[in-house]
Amino acid sequence: MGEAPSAPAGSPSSVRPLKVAIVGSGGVGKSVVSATLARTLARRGRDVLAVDLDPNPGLAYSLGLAPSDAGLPPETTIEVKGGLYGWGPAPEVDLATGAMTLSRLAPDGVRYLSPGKIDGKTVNKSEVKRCLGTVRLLVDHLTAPWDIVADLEAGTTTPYEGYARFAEVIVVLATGSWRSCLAARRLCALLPSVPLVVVASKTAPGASDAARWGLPVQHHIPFDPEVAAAERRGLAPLDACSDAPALSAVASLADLLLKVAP
Amino acid sequence: MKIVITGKGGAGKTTIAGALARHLAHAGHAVVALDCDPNPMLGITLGFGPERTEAAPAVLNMLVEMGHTHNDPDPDPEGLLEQFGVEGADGLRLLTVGRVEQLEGACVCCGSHSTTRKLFSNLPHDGRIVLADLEAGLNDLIWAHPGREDVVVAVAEPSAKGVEIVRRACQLSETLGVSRLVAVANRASPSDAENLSRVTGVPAFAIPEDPAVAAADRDGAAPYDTDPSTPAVLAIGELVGWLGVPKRPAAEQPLPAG
Repeated sequence: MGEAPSAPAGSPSSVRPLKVAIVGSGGVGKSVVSATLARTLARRGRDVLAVDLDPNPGLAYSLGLAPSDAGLPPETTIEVKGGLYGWGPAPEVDLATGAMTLSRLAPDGVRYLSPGKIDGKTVNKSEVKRCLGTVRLLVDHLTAPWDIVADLEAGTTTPYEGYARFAEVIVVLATGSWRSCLAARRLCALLPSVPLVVVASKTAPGASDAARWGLPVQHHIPFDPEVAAAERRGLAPLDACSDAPALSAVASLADLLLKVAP
Repeated sequence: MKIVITGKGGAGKTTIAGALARHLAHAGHAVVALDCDPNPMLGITLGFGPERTEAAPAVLNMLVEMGHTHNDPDPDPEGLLEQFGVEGADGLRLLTVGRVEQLEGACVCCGSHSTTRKLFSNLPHDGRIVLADLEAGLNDLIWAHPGREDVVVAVAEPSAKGVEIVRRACQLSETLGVSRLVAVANRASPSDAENLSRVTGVPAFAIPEDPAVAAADRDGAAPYDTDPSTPAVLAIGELVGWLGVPKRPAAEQPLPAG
């Protein structure tokens, strides 16, 4: 955990924060899009919280942050009867600002909030459960005018379980594969009724595969060998290949989301 | 015997599980393919086609419909297979654990995960191969809880994240006492597999990048059906040799010619 941020400077209070969740089946590019979107918004002077809602390692790599398995400090959570997974924030944690104060600093001034990771050393998931319920509550209750960009776990389970409840707009990613488009259709059917932006990811030039499978595609992010090479090395695409075409496509996705969000 | 396929989302678990099940069934094994992803897709790569995959009944959904909850005493797993298993090529059977879009009344703390645990633990596997295709990530591996007698196949595409998740999956499997572990470098070169083996400390097998598999994936088809002799499908056939699959009972072996 890094130092607590000072008052949410930067965003004038007239700026309406963007609260977006990124969903889709595995390997469609959720973490790369989430991280790049978060840093792109931060570079425009906005205050951004990147929330990692996946207990598997991923988002930190794409943000350019040293991966860590750490969740929330033990003193910040307490057992809550009937709480999500039986846990919630300790009384000392302010529900309205806790998501910010418990985050750590990432490149471009993005704040990164993580419920911790399944570390592989123990088959006990209680540590992730302890943090996950609290992180979700804090994200739902954050009142500061910060953008929230949340990267969800692959598939339909966590969207079904309400992990995107905080979101005012949801990005549904699909590639040209039939199965990822089926997952996107299933997601569109079960997500809350906020604006959904369907994005065709890793597309070949001129291809319209996702549209072919009946998805209302609103934006394209091309397959980009430079991004693939960065992923291979575990680097943030914005650090490894800042001029890559896929990253400009994420920047224009940011514009689209700011327009679409209520 | 029982086999689980695990790994990061998009690494190729379902593609490999589907073709592996087809190879095993074609070789004469009785195969039960367990689709543990509540976003079920295994039917596609097994060759059932999109409509039959979508129509396949899901165990948890059916149990909920019949008024059960996931906490009820274990229903007879063999009975569930008889009732809800769907038969495919070479006698293999697909059993779908849960389908999240229609789940109502199921406990949201575990979704279909505890049904996965019960089916994977309790389905009889003498004389047959139970092959479980898990949901993306490490959580479902913990739920499935493979043990000493089971085989874990952990799949990574050659990205830092995919390799790290497989490293953790191998570590978890060892903690669970799994004795036979294979790491698979998918869409990868032999040197990627060497790297994966070095990082995980377990034998690693390479499956090459294959445009024929990508084409089948675009069309919602099974690579095993579109071209059984394409390099990736052949490699998945070779993977069988790494899993310690028992020989079929002698009585079922084809008679030697002449």
